[in-house]
Order: sequence, then C-alpha cells, then structure tokens
Amino acid sequence: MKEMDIHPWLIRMSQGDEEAFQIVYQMTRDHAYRFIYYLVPNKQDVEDVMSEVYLELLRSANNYFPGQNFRAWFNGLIIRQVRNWKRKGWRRFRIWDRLKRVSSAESDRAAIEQFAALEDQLELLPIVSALPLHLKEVIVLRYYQDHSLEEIALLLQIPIGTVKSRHHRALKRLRHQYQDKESAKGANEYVY
Amino acid sequence: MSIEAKLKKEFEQYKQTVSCPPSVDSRMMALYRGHRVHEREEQPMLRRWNLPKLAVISILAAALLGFTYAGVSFLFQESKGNISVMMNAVSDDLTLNKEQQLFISRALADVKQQLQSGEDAIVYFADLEGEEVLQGKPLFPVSKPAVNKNLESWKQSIPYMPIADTVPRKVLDHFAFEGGMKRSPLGVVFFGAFEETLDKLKQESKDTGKKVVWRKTVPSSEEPLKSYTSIYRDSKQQAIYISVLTASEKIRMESMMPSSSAYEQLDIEGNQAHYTRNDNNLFSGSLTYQELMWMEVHGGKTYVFSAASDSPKITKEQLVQVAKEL
Repeated sequence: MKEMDIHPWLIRMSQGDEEAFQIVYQMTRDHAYRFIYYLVPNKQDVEDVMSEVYLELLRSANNYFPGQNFRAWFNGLIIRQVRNWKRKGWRRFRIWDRLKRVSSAESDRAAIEQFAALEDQLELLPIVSALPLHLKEVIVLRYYQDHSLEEIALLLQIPIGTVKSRHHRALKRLRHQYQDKESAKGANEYVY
Repeated sequence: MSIEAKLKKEFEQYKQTVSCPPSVDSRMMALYRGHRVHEREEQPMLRRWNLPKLAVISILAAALLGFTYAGVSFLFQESKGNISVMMNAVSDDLTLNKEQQLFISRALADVKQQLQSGEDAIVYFADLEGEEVLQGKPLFPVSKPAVNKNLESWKQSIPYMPIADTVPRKVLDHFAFEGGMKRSPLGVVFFGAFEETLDKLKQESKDTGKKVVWRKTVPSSEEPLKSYTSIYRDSKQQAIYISVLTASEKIRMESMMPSSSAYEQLDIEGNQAHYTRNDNNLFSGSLTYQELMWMEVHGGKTYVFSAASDSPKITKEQLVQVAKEL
C-alpha cells in the first residue's frame, strides 16, 4: 500500500462516488488481504473478514483525519474487524455452510495452496501463526507492518507497557519454539 | 541472525508471495453497491441527521463550493479542542473558469438583492450541470444576513463574554463598526436539505426553461456551528470582517481554494495563524477573499477567530495589524 494522499478519495467515496471506492480499494486491497490472511486463524474466513473491513471503511471513512498516518489508521480498523470476527464465532459456522454451497471458493483454495507452499519454506512464520491473537498482533504490526511499539500502543489502544510485555513474551515464545523445532530437526541454526 | 531480523525477512518473503486473488474484487464491488443501495433505502431525513455533523460539513462544502476532490492537495490543518480546521488546495485546472465564476457571482448577487434581511436561498445553474468539477450539483447558497448596527446591542447578543468584550468600535483607526451578523464573513450557510432542493430546482428549470432558478431555504436550528461577525468599513467602502466561530460538538471544517491562491503560516504574538488569499471566491462580490485565521481556547471552549476582507486592496499586513489590536 503506497502512502499517498488518500483522503480526497475517502471523502469522495463517502459521498457515494463508486470510482473513488475503486481507487481506494485498489490502493489497499493487497495490503488488506495479506494482513487479514495472516491474522485470521481460518483461511476460509479471509474474504468474509475482508468484506467486514471494507464495510467498516465505508462507514468510518469520515473519522479519518488528514495528517494521520493512513496505514496505521487502516491497520487499526483491520485489527478490530479481525477481533470482531473471532468474537462472533457463530458466523464462522455460517461461512462454513456457505463454503460448502458455493464453488467460488477456488480463489480461497488457490491462496491456501500458495500459502502452504510458502509455509514449507518459512521457519518462523508458521510459529507466529500459532500464537494467540493478542501476541500475534504485536509481532505482525512490529515486524510486518514496521510500526514502533508506541504506534502499536496507539493503534491497539492499550498502554505501552502492555505492548512491551506482549512483545517480550511473544519473542520469548518464538525463540523457545524455534529452538525446539530446530533441535528436533538436528539443525544448528541459532537465533538470539 | 537475530529473531527480529529473521521475522522481517520471512514477512518480506510472505509479502512477495501472497496477493489478493482477482475474484475478491468483484465481491468487494458488489459489497460496495449493496451498501449504497442500503443507504439509499433509508429514509432521507433520517439518513441526513444520522451523518456526523463533521461529515455533513465536508460533504456540503465539497458539493457547494464547486470543486472536485480530484487533484486536491492538503495545505494545512489545525485542531484545538473540539474544532479542527483544514484547508486544501485544488488544482487550478479543475476549478471553474473566470467567465463562469463571474456569471455565478453576478447571479448570486442578483438573487441576494431579491432577498429580505435574514433570508437565505440556494441557486441552481442549469448550464453548469455538465461541469465535471461540480459533480452534478451546480448549486450555490446565497444569504442576506440580518445586520445589527448597534454596537452595544450587538455585543450583548454574543453569548460569550470574553469575545463580546473584545468587539472594538474601530479597527486600524479608520475602519468604523458598521454592524454585526450571526454568520461567517461572507454570510454563507452550508447546511440544509440540499439534495431534495436540487431535485426540485432541476425540475423547475426544466418546466420553466430558466437557466438559473432559486428558492429560499431555512437553515436548521440544529447547526452545530455558531458564527459572529463584526463588520468594519472605511470611507472607500472597503470592508474588514472580524469573526469568531464556536461549535457545540466535535467539528471538522474543510475548505478548498485554487492552488494559485496565496497561503502563509504566521506567528502572531505566540499564536499560530494562517493567512489565505483567494481571488476566485464565488461568494465574494469582488471574487477576492483574504483571511487571517487563528484558534484560541478560553475557559475550555475553542474559538476560531478570523480577520478577513473581500476588498482586494486590503493587505495581509493590515489584517495582521487587526489581529494584534484585538
């Protein structure tokens, strides 16, 4: 997602300009998809969470102030929708039903296969994936989205001390699990 | 390798590999259209008042000022308390041409002459219907605000003591108090049920064949913004307006002016101030409107002050001097 002046397009979008929505969507789609894809535990939910994210964007575009870091604002919106989705467990059952009915899940399958192939090459991210959401959020925001711990605190609306403690705990877990995994393989790569 | 570096490396690999499948796009567009249909199905009045006021201001400013948002760049923003003021510059290519501006300005002045004191109207220009910059909403407001010419009575009508006390009898020695109005300096109101009015005016234009049609409007009593403007005039009929604006709720005011306009950020006795001069302002009889704006907080309340003029010969330095005198 390029950092550019998206604000005029957000205003036009909230006025009902379809072209503006298309532009906002094109500017953010890959970023949103990847971010959601990594955060949601069930990959079949990605498109549904994505729908929730863009619906929320349509509803709350007026709350975005120019001068704010759009990426941070949008990331906060995505995180809230992923959390909401996790809370509303019943919806996943509905989605499972839908997936059984609708054959358009081909894109889901393609993406899942794509990610599965990548997971074979990666060592840490599969471990990150298995972290509880509150720890995973901090790791993803810090090392994928490149936010500072202070920005993460603002974005998640939690005290900086909590962010630091989650960050510390997540890294500790990752180191520990990674070493276990490597030892089991008999490898000698070391991370510190 | 540190775990932090390894995480970054793997996330970068992830980013390179995973992308949004094209099939998602059609679903998102369908979602957008569904959302729009749902919005339209709501009761119009209900929908209007459910919008946050700050959104209403942005939208109406965009629709009524006649500029498109394409080619807009951010000029400045200042926020204090519950008020945020933002100014954007819009590419000159996207604004109306001088001839159109003069035509609109004259038509607005003509309608204004037909209004009684204290009345507002909205004017529709059928010939501007195709202008892309107006986004299908060639509507402009015009007002003839009621002016209170008695200084003491005007001061008493301002409900904010610290502000009322600062209304001078004269500014710059030779600009005398002419009157006060509960409006912004150019008297324009940006609120109202303009969508319904637009449809009615379009129909009237079709039925009568008139290219410029208008009707009176009644500003809502729910307006979250309150403006108080004192007017000062010299012997050459040049005007200086001193205004103060407050808001009863959280408000973001967005304005736009052509990028050829002048903008300067100034420091006036420790206060950050913003000077703008726009020579294409449709609501100014001379098309010139210059303003020095700053914000102050008194007793927990935010006030947006401005010293402004629609007289082309008034200088920035004079407006700065007015601000210093207050």
